[in-house]
Amino acid sequence: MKKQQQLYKGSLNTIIMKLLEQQGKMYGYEITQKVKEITQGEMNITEGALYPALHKMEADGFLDVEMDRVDGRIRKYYKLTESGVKETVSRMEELENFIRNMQTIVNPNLKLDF
Amino acid sequence: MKLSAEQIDALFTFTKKHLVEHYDVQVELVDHLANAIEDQWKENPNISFEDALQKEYKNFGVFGFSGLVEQKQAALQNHYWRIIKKEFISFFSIPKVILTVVMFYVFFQFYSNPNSFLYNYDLLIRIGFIALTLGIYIYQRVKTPKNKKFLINSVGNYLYGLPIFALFYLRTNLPVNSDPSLFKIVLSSVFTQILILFFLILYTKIIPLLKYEINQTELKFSKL
Repeated sequence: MKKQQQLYKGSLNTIIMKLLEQQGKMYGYEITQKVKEITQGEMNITEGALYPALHKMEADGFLDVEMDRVDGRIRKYYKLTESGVKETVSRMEELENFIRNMQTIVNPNLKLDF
Repeated sequence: MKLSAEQIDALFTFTKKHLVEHYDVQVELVDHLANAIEDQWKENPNISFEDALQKEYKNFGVFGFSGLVEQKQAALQNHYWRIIKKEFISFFSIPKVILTVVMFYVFFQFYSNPNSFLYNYDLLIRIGFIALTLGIYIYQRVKTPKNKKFLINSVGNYLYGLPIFALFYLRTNLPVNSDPSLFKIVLSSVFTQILILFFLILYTKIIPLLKYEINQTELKFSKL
């Protein structure tokens, strides 16, 4: 694991939720690939972190599961529930605040607009 | 290149060999591994199925799949404990608090009068109570079908197993015909009350909810 991965760790759930908000429904492997693609390989969600995060959010009622048969196997899709959508909004706000604060600390002269 | 039916079967066997016994978890892992292997083949068509699988399995970390199963169980157990806690707190807010107070009054009266007729049967009532909860637990374990094992079934066994702690209840009775102190009366009343409330929540809220979730899981899989 690269050193900077530590910094992403705390935001894993928020990242997953944001992706699901944009894509509607996704399966586990698709999420890992999508994150890799968006960040051009900079961020790599490991399987050992992704599935526990998904399962926890499912147990918390933020995610719902849908299943389909694809290529001779069963695929498990995750999508946001109503409370998941609300949670995504509040977590994104939190994350944006965090980024803004970090920005101010790291580079006080730069203004960031959201 | 896509995986053959035999290779998909081999992936199921692989997850079972790595101690994933629940079908719903197996399904998710098999699909993940299959996707990853197919992607590896896109980049290097010469890599063998076995090598590609071993390479992918390493990504799951040193604990492999076992950590995954445990964390999923813990997440679900926590979910149910949170509901239990919420329900328990509701017994101390209006309107349920009235029931709580009445119950406490009844238990307090019962324990302050060790000479009453009912008190002689206290131990018998306790044993009956524990026998009943153990009976329900064993009945549920036997009734759960062995072939259809989803992860939620294991959480179900855990929840049905919770009443085992009622065995401690046997140790808390006050001696008959003694003159109990106020502290002992209150302690016994509170303990009995907590136990009754716990059972009320478990059997009226948690178990029905769990049954619903198990049905939903079975329904989702039966549609495939």
